[in-house]
Amino acid sequence: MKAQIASEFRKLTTTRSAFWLLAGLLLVVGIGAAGIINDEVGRNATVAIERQPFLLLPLMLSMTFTMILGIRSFTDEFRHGSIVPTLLASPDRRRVLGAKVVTVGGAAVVYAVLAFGVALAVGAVGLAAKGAHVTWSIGPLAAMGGSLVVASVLWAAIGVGVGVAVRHQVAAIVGALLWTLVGESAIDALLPDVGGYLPGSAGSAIVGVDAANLLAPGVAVAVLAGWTVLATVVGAQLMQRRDIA
Amino acid sequence: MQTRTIGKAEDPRAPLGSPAIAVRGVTKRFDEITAVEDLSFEVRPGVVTGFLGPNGAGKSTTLRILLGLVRPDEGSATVLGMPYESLPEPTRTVGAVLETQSFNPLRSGRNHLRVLAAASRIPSARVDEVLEQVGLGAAERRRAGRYSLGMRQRLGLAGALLGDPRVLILDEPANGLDPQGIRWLRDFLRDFAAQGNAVLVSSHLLSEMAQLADEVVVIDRGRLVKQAPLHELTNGSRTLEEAFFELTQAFTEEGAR
Repeated sequence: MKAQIASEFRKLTTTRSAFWLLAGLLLVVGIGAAGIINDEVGRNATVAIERQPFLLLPLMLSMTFTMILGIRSFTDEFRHGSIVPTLLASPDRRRVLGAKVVTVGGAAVVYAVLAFGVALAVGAVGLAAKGAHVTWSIGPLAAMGGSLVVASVLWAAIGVGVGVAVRHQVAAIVGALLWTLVGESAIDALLPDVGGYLPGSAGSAIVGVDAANLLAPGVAVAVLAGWTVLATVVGAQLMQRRDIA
Repeated sequence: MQTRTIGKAEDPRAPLGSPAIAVRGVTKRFDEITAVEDLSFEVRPGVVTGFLGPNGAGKSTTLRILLGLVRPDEGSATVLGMPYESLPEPTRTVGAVLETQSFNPLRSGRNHLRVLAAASRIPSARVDEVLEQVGLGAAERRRAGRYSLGMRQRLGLAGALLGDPRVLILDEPANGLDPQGIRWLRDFLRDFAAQGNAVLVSSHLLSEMAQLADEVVVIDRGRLVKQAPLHELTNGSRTLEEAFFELTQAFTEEGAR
């Protein structure tokens, strides 16, 4: 599978799409964090940066953007017909899917770390400009960053499965966004007991969003990992059986 | 384009077993439509085999079945005695071009080939060789989306040649090529076959096929109409076009009865 991963890595780095998606994420995180910085913070106040609400933004957005990256890894190939030479070189389609999961998973680590870094940097500068005294607790920050990386990698892999299942790029991305933004809230409202186990809620729980119905972070990792296995196994089965006509 | 042989092609290579390609009793249905029905034919090494049929006859479906992209409902299709997906390093055995657009338009031609080379563990130096060979050297760093139709065909062909294969399977490769390109392709394929390799090439350009093929497989509505050496079909005096229409016409009347 090393050859397939090398090939997927070249796919990711030889067009600018993944870089533009990353640039978009960092831009939205930066602007968003600057906008959210707490107006209540007074002069000379002491502020623990890990407790600031603006950090939730990169946490949520990073998962969405890595999901789109994962979706596109297959839908781009169906759209442009490059799936044919890809499968001619690697007829074992499950191996192709596995290589895509590994590659976008690696990219998701980069996305998550940079998004968290940008939010922290913008936040720290913004707070300092207000004259606040910012304190940094490395332990909690590392834990937040780590959980963000885990959730983003899992969401990237879920995206790969969604991309295989739907194949059509726009439909897959719009459908997945609607699901996370609207679909889950609707189910959560109707069936509150179930809502917390849905993938979007599990992702929020992992990164420490504090809301009703959410699972404990450790349980949420297991639940989201379960969704990831489901999405990739179903994707692999579909990919294996489907005619590329 | 240049007509020189590539890489290892000059080395003596073990002769291919015959048949190089075997399609046996293949049937494929898509929902209600039967695309291919109980189709059997063989492709021998050392000759160019033309694959002819009207639009919708099932040529592309058959080629996709041969390449493991479409699963037949019945029958088997093998290359060198094995299903494509069981070949240990398929692109080093079989080179194929199916569609004129099979690349991300934002990627350069060279990077498209580097992506494929990585998947087959082929060194990047080979990418430069095939680019030179198909005459795309000057355009290699441009986005492939800006290529002309003929250049896209050449890029597809470069991808098929990457692994220095023994069998070529090409779907309408002359589409969009200029006269020089068509002549280059013809010379290349004839030379390739003469070295003991196998070529299966579909086309509906009958006059082009008459100059290219040694053997012809004609199908219509998914079924075999005729497999025969070209000279037997044309019988010395008829053109391939006349023979083709006579065959498919007779086939249609037979089907109507």
